[in-house]
Amino acid sequence: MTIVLQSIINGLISGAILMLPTVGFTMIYATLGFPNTAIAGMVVLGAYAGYVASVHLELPLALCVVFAAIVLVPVGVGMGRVVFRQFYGRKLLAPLIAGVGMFLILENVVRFVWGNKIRSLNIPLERPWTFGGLHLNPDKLTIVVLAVALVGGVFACLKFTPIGRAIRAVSDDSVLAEIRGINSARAILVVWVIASGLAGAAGVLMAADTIMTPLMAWEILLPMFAAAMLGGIGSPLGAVLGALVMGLTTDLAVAFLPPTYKSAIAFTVMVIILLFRPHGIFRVKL
Amino acid sequence: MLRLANVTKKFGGLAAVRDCSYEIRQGQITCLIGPNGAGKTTTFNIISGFLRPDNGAIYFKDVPIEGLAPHRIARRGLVRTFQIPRELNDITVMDSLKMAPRNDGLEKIWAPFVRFRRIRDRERTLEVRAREVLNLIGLEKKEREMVRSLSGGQRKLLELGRALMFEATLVLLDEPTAGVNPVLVSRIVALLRKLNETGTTLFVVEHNMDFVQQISDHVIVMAEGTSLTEGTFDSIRSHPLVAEAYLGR
Amino acid sequence: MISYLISVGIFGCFYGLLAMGLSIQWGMAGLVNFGQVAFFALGAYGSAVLSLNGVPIYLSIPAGMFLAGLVGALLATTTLRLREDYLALVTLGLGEVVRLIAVNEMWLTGGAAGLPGVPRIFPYATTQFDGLWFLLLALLAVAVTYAVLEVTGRSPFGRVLKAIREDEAVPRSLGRNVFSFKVQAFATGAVIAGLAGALFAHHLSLVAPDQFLPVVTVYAWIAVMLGGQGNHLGAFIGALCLMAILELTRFGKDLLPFLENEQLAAARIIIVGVLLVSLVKFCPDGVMKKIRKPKNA
Repeated sequence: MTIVLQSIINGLISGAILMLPTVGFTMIYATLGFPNTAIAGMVVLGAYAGYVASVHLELPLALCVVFAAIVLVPVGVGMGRVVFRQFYGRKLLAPLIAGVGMFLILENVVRFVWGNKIRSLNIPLERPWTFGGLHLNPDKLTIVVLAVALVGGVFACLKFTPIGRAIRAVSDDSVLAEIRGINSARAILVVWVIASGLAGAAGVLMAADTIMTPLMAWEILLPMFAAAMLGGIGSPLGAVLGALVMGLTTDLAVAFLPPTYKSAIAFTVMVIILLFRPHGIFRVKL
Repeated sequence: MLRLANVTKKFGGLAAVRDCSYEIRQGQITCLIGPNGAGKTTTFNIISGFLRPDNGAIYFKDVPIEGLAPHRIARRGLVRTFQIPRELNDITVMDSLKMAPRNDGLEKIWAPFVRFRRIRDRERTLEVRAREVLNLIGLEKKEREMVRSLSGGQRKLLELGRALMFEATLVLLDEPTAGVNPVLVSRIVALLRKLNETGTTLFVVEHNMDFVQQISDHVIVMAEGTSLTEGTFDSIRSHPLVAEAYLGR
Repeated sequence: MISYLISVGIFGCFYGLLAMGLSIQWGMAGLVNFGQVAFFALGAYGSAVLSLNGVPIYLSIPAGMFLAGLVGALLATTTLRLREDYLALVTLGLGEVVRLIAVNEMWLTGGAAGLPGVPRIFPYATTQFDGLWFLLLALLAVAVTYAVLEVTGRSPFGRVLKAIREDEAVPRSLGRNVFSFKVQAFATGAVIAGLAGALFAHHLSLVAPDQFLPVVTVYAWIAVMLGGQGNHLGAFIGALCLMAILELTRFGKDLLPFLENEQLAAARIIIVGVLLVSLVKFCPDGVMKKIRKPKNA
């Protein structure tokens, strides 16, 4: 029983982290129409940017997250401009392949600079809180708070600001949005900013939760796909719910399976969704 | 031959097709007319299985077909064309015609390695048939060219040619003269007549009233998703509702 | 030197076969497979495990191909029925899952260390001749695959497949079960990758998980993009070009002696990634199509 409860806690933490790249992934899918695998590469780069902030600049975790997000924004926006812009509105294939290429490039830039060895952020050790055999580190709570705050900020922006409304209009129907005089180029730019910022932040939070290696890119890739598919690809709110479900499923399953099969769980979830609910399990709009 | 009973299709809250009931009689050329947005193409999409109706039934040769996959409906002998010529650019005109008739056994991936002789024989007959059709649609000089080099009107003709090759019993034509120059229009009229004489029933969406007058045995008028009235071209022309809704002024 | 060239040629054949598998999936049917390495691995492990357990090679290789094809058909059946745009994501996932199974299921796959001692195809030949004979065998496999793909492309099946690639509404409205055509094409591509894997296993006489990294799929994609959509021979030539590029990067060690091995490996993959992105960006229709428009493509 304790194991199950502990897994639920861990699952909620990893689910909260998974929300960030998934929201970015699904927003890019909604506005530009292709699954951007490069997001996973940006997550790794974000983690190592956070490493620089944490170990070399000795910043606290929250500032490391901000630092990584700020570093990643020009990377993502630049990538959107240089690599992906010419594919907007084209068939799925070209941007997809370019995304895989960018994923490889980012992952290996990290390998090139920092090597393959396992690293961790410089977070002061604190005594975990214990209640009846359950453990929770205070810094894990910080992670969750930061993740929720970031995603909440993005949702507030989508819901209440003019640019957020523009993004939603472009996601619904880019042609119609253009007719109604919405500047879709600007909306897409902001989507890139949000997606890359969230990816960078997610990398730091993942590293703070566990450890970091360049292989993180692969650990996030399949859960991110699965979470987006669970929520109905293209729906940010669905992505949040999908990420929490994925986090819980994975950590509960890992309580009974060898932990190396984490990615396999995501794959299984993907296949099950495709078989039974190809448009996602949550029918939510936004 | 084809009967619609209370067919309804909604997009969001909006009914694109509302409670449509009518019948296409065997051997006739029936035209479906109506203003833009009346739901004509949606009706075609429902009949041919590309859309599933929310309500109602469709009978083809007295068998219900609503909700079947498009290829299953086509196999019963109902073929459609598309409003915007959907064409296969990187294929020769000849191949585009030869692919129309279906043969499951010879279209398996392993067939060319196991039944190559039967494939060769069939290809020969197909080629002869395709040449006949090419002569009929006046594209005999284009046989070896890629479809991308054809004009819009020629593509429309090629689509008709595929319907000819397929030997369907009912052909749905979505605006066969849209974007076609007048010379080709008269060719299309002649071709449809010929197709009809050989026993094919035709159901045609069309805007060109001269064309409708020339070709139709029966006309169904649609507006705002429902069928307003039907009858011969002359009878519907004088109908006040039609004059208001469509022929106008 | 000669044995080095032979070995490069053999690997060119492996990647060429993988690329030809993509050539039927993507080139002819428009299906995006990002997990070609999974089918490569299935063919390799399938044939290796069987032949280590006493099954003769001439049976184990077809069995490996069958295994790859079966998994390909199952995956295509689950994915293509409802959401085709997810195929790329699901295949990418399959590649990882197959590798995970290879790492974890010690009893079957030997875990991370892999399976050594897979029987060779020419056990009595001396090492050098072994390479030569094997190169000839691999070239034969490439030639047969090429012939099969060309015949398929010109057959009634290939004609419908081309129509599907252009606009599947047309074949559907002409009574074709588009789904079934796609599954057949996808499974065939997987079988070809399985063949490459099986030959690979018996050539190196070792299969291990780190031979089946995702970058192998990317190699195959680069080869097929160099060749151009639907150009099967181009895919093979693309694979040979890719091998040349990859081998040239090995000399990076001499040029940049201050780099660690780890860094060189990373740099190599960065180059591969840049190559892939530039190919999509600058010649999406394939390099060879730019030079020479193949007939009947």
